[in-house]
Amino acid sequence: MKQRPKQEPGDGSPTRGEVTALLADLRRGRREAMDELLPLIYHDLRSLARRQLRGQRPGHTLNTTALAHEAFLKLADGGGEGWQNRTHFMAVAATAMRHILVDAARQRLAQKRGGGAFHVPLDEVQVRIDARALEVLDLDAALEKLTLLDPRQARVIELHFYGGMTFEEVAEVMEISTPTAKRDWRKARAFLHFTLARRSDAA
Amino acid sequence: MESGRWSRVGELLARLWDAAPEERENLLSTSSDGDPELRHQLESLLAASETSGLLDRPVGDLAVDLLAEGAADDLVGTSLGPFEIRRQLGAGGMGEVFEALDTRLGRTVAVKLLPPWLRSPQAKERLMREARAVSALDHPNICTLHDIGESDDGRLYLVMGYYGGETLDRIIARGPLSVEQARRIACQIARGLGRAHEAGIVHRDIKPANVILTEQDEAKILDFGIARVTGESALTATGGRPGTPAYMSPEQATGSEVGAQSDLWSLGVVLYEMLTGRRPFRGSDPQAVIHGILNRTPTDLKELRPEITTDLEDAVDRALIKDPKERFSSAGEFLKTLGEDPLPTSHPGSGMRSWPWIAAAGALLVILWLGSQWSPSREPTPAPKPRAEAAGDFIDEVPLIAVMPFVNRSGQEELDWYGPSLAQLVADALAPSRHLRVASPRRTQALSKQPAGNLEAAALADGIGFVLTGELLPSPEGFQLAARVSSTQEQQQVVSHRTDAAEPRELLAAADEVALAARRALGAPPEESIDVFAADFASDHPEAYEFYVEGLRAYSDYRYQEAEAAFTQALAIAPNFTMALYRLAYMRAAMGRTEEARAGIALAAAKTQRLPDRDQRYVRAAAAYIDRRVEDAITAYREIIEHYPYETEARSQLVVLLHSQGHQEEPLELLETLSRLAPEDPAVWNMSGQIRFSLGQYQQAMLDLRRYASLAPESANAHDTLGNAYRAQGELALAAGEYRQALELDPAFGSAQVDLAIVDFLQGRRGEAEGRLTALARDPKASPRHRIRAAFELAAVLRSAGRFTASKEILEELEPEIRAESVREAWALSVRGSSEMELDRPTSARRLLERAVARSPSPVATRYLYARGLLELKEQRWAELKHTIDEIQRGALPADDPNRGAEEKAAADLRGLQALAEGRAAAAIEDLELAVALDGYSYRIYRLDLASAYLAAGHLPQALAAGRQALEQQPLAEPRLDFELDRGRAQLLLAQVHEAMGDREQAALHAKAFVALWADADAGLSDLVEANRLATLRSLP
Repeated sequence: MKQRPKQEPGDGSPTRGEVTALLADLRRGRREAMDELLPLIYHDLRSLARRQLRGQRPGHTLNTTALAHEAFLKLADGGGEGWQNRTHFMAVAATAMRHILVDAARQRLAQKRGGGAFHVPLDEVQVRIDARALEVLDLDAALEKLTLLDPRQARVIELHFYGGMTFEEVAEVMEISTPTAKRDWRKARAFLHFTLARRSDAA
Repeated sequence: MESGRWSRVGELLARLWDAAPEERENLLSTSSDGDPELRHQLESLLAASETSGLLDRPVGDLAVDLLAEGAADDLVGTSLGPFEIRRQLGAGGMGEVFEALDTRLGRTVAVKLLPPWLRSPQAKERLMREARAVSALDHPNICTLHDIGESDDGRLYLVMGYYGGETLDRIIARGPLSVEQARRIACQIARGLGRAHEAGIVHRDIKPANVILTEQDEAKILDFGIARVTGESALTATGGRPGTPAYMSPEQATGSEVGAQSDLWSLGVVLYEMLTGRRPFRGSDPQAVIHGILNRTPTDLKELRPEITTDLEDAVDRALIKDPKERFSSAGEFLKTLGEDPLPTSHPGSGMRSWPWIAAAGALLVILWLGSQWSPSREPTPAPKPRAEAAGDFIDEVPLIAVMPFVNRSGQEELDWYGPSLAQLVADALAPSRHLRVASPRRTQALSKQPAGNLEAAALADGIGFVLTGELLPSPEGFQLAARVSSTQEQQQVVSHRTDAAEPRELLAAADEVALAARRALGAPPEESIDVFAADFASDHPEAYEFYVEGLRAYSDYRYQEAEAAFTQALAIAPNFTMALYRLAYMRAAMGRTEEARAGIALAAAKTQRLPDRDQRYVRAAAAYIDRRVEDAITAYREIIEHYPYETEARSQLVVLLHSQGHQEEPLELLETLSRLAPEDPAVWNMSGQIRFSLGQYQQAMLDLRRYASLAPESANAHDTLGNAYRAQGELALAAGEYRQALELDPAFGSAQVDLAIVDFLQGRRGEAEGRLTALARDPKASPRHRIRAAFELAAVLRSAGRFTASKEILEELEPEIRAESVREAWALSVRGSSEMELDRPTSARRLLERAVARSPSPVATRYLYARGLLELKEQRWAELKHTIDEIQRGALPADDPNRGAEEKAAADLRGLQALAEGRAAAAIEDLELAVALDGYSYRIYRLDLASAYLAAGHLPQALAAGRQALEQQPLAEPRLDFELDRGRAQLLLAQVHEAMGDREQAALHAKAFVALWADADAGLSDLVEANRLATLRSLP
């Protein structure tokens, strides 16, 4: 992965102004703005997710789109012209969500290795979470591979899958047509499923 | 792949997608011309694009699992009111527990944050009320509450004393405790419980996770009253992962009223676990655990750990008595058993008065603490297993899934039937796996009555780990099948699957994909391959499949006629529908229509090549069974179980077959496993009851049968069988009540009609019995099996009244049915032969008895040889009789066989009767005494014959005694009508004995009794002539 957000939160919460300004930069094409935005969104999104999980009865899925929206309302200036920033914010949130998942998966598996000293009783739930973690890491690796082959397709996957963005939103933020976004998704999906299947066969 | 190649592949892929299906092959060939690798790549990608996978699930599903862990970390470092959260101590279904600093007093406390759904005013009110009650308990072994508060977002939290230490479950997880430590902790828990019980407060959730052992080695009970406050028990907890029922008392497990005794049971479980490191009732499936709690006796403590003292063993035994009334009635009794003084609330080393707590202003004192761990299915590290696990323990390891009927949301009503059909296909495709179990239709049906939101909780309460649900939806391409598997414990989805189809029938073929996805999600290894013909067939003949599924449903509800109609219709549409043929044949065999069954199963057996392996085996096994090749059938069913360990149908069949072959242990073992695989299946309890009944285990049989009746309240059979159990125990009136109830439910129920007739007869209502039996035997609409049974019982009733002609006629009348069914053929011939003998027609008698012997299975059953011997005796053919006696003895079992007596006593009886006929009375007495001694108290005939010998020898007091015994003897075996003839004859013999003794009055009384019994007897019978003579005897002036 190219960008790695810092593991520790920044010194203080980002101000709305900061985030709004960075989003505007991003819209104007300043790519570095993405790198600066990512850690801010990463931490906020993660704690929002965790807060939601804590307050929920188990069994509810996590509505990541709603989370990203909540983060946007909190971090950016959603009023007036700022509203146009929303799609760009969501796009950054998609990447952030990917990082959040990958980091959680790594942490999970690391804990497992670290915990090897004492006998961990076999637990269906734990086994399944481990399987999830491996899936997430496998998908990430396959996506990395796809980025080398076709970065645009990989980005479509990131936005649509991790970010939960509609194809229209994907098209808007990537400045491509909606049918192209859909076609890219379909090809990329075939590639990833193919790669993942081969990987699990090998395992 | 390099990027240039990928863009080319991608372009080709897009063109292939856009191409019409028939053009695809062509396009594939031309575009990959000369590049096999490219072609392979394209094919793989096309295939991959058809499969659903990770990317088709919402990312939120992935996130839930990965982020939920550690979610609580975010509270660490924040504040709840004046409490600074420092670290998490544990998390349980009822909230998270943190170590916190009370900033006002500068001391460390434990804070428990209750889950958000407990913030309703009612929940708060209940919590406060319980808190007040519990706060009055001031005891060193009960944890105390400092404060109760509400967070900014309205969540309740409890502030409790912080003791270092560890919860008992963690301590046990490291291995069993020392005997002394276990005893000390158990006594401390008992003291705490004693105090609470005195105040009328029951804990309801005593378990190791709810006991903390402080650094001062002091046990403190946590969570007092929590179960009551939340109104949730371990099993019904909806708020979080429910706990294990392992510590529940039987009364708790069955949802009955719970008192102090329930806590003492739980304490017994905890003590057992402390001593051995394992729980007395185990299983990862809550249902299995509960089954153990209700039915099993745990392994003896001393067996697991010999050094355990007798008093500890007693304490556990008495705590774990299933009936709460028999259990310890108080914690004091528990302490006394362990030699402890029940009174002191304090114990050495505990400075109760110095117990440090300071109540905050307005604080409520609640003994409510949450130190439990999330780990319902995480068993503590088990102690080494001292012996093999009981049969069926493997079952608990296997995930159980319920396949719910799919919901038709396509907007097309005519597709409604796809719902159950798809579910059936998916269930059939899942069932052959070794790595999962599919819940029975009965269980699934019960679940489908639940409101949708409650499905998972209800499934969980029924011990079902996963549910598969799905819908049929409209889609731009036509239809879409959406299915998903959810874990009931996690209450969340573990996999989902969608398939599009232009035609609804294509959706039937998708059932296999759904099953495959489910199997993977449940951890079945990918190498486990399963045949998938069923869905193919169904999609080729959807209408036939619809009828088939309908038939199955009717069949599992015992609505045989409806099932028959449905299967017949399925076959009218698709004559090659092998499974429909099989089901129909099988059902007809069960209904006693053997000929049709044979023809049907032969047809099915010829068409198995397209069936999945499991189904092929079922057809073969059923063919053997219907053909009465019993050993083949047994082998076939055994093989099915070997290949498909969770098949209940094969197990049930095997139980029936093995039992019919006289096996005892194995059927009971199979049933033990079955009762865990399918505790909801009334048939299992029926079989278990029947077999225990046949083994004379009447009490256990009654329990099983009652369970059967409660699971199948509409079943006439249940009441009939219960009636049989009463009858066997001599409770004829109660038995008749059950039979009448059965007939109320189903007036045409043949077995109950026969059984009621038998009881009527035994209670002296001969006319009613005869009428009922005659009507049934002659009812052409009744099942041939029931008609035959009625005919035999009727023959016995008639014989007992000396009506031998009528007796043989009814069996002659039923001869075609008896022959067609090939049941009791030899028996019928033998009964007819014996009647001919009574009628003094030796030639007919001889012919029939020879046929009976010839028809009898090899080795020839003793009863037929015995009947022939009696004829030879009557005809004084001594050489032939000797031959018969030899033949009987040759068939005798080895000397150490417990069943050996039957042949020996028959031979002794015939020898004795021969000696009697030859005038050698002393020899006769010797042989007949042997026969009686061998018989014990089963048959009247031997005592009757012995009485005759005594009479002939002039030993009149002995003759009188033996004759009376023959008359009054209550056979130990189930009362059987065919013994009643001997009972009548005992009257006649007693008349003769009294005459010989000179007691003419008594002689006449007995003779009159006999004459009354034989009022309608055939004319000219010698017994009747003799009885009439004796009946006219007058006492001498």
